[in-house]
Amino acid sequence: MDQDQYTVGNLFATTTCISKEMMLLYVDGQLTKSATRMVESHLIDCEFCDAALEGIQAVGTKKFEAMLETVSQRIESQQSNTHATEEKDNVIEFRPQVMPPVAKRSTKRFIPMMSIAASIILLAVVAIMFMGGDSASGIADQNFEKLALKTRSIETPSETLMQQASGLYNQGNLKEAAELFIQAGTAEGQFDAGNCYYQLGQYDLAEAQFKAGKNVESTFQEKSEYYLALTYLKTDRVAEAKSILESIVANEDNDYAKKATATLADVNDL
Amino acid sequence: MGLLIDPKTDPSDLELIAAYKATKSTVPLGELFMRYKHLIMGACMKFLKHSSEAEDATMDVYIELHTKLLEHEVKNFKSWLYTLTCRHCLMKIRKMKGIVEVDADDKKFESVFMENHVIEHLIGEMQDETEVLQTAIAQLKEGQRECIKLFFLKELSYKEVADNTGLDLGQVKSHLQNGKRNLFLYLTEALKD
Repeated sequence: MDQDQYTVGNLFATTTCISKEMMLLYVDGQLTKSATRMVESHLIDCEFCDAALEGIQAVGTKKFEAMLETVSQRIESQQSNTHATEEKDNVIEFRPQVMPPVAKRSTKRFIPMMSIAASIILLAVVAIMFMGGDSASGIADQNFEKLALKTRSIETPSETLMQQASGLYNQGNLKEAAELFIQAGTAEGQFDAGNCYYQLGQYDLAEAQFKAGKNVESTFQEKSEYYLALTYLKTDRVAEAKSILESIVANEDNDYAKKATATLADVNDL
Repeated sequence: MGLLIDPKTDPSDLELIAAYKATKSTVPLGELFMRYKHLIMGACMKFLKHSSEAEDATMDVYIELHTKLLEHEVKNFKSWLYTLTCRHCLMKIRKMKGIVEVDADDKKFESVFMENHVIEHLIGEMQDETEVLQTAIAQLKEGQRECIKLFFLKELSYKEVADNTGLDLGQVKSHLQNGKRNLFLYLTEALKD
């Protein structure tokens, strides 16, 4: 054999990690010979790509893409909450007269304080009006206007709670995040709370949230239904999970039909 | 279609990490995660063997990144991320099996990356040292030597190497990985001398 053709350069040529697209084409056997060589040369060097490739081969490219899509949606949903928080944090920074730098302060303490302050102002205004007189009415009107302006500038409790909950979620404090998501009282909060409990392995609580979300008309209705099926799978209630997944698959308009199909195939393989 | 991941691309992995540390914003963190998401998910699938578990583990790694990146000084994000992913999977497997004590098989989760800068140094210093290389290759086990020869000299694919040697694909890959690692270790030692 041509032993003298070996060089350190051709044995140890630096290779680069492989993109998702290239990995999928490799697994499906659709790469050219030179591209295949490039991938295989890299797999010798990189344990991460090698492990990932084995994982993709185990599940198949179509299923793997569906799995990636599921995770992307979960992250996008989380990021949209966080972006909202980041944007609102910036607004607070430029309106110290409305909300002094208390972004870090506990919302639970802040809201009751604002309520007390608002009540005192209202009482004062009512007292002035009761006293009568044009000047008193004028002051009352001004105070009402100031109060209205302030009220318009303050975020609604549900928005604040969602921000707070998203912050806790991002810090990995899922238990407290779930409680605040529920307190927010929105369809999104309900789903996010279910997601927290699901990740915590508290499937009974997750089930309750997803069930409620499934029955309320909102943009989170289909998502809740799909995750309820996943929750059933976690608790070995395969028949119930399959029933939900099949109904999702049967509805072509359902955004989760593709994922449900993949999950159903996975369940049937078990 | 991007075919390769270049961690030095603009912005680089390290620039995204710096941006995340400075702003705590999920925008650079998300971009960084999306770059490696398929690797994390694939590795989780390999270790956990179940798609739902792999999806959950991938999400868990994303969440862990929020805090771990702030706590650690990361120099090679890819290898650090692989270690983080492997450890997470190991913890999950232990939890599923109810295992508390250290598993002797932990070693398979240890990452042994041949750092690019060490390889570049090796190529620079040993480019003309063909005799040293021949000696190193001669010291390999027969299976490793044969696979190295067919893959690097004959430029055959894994499958073609398998067909030529009668080994299965897993054995071919293993011989190539171990053979190349042994060569690397031998040459690095030779370089020190």
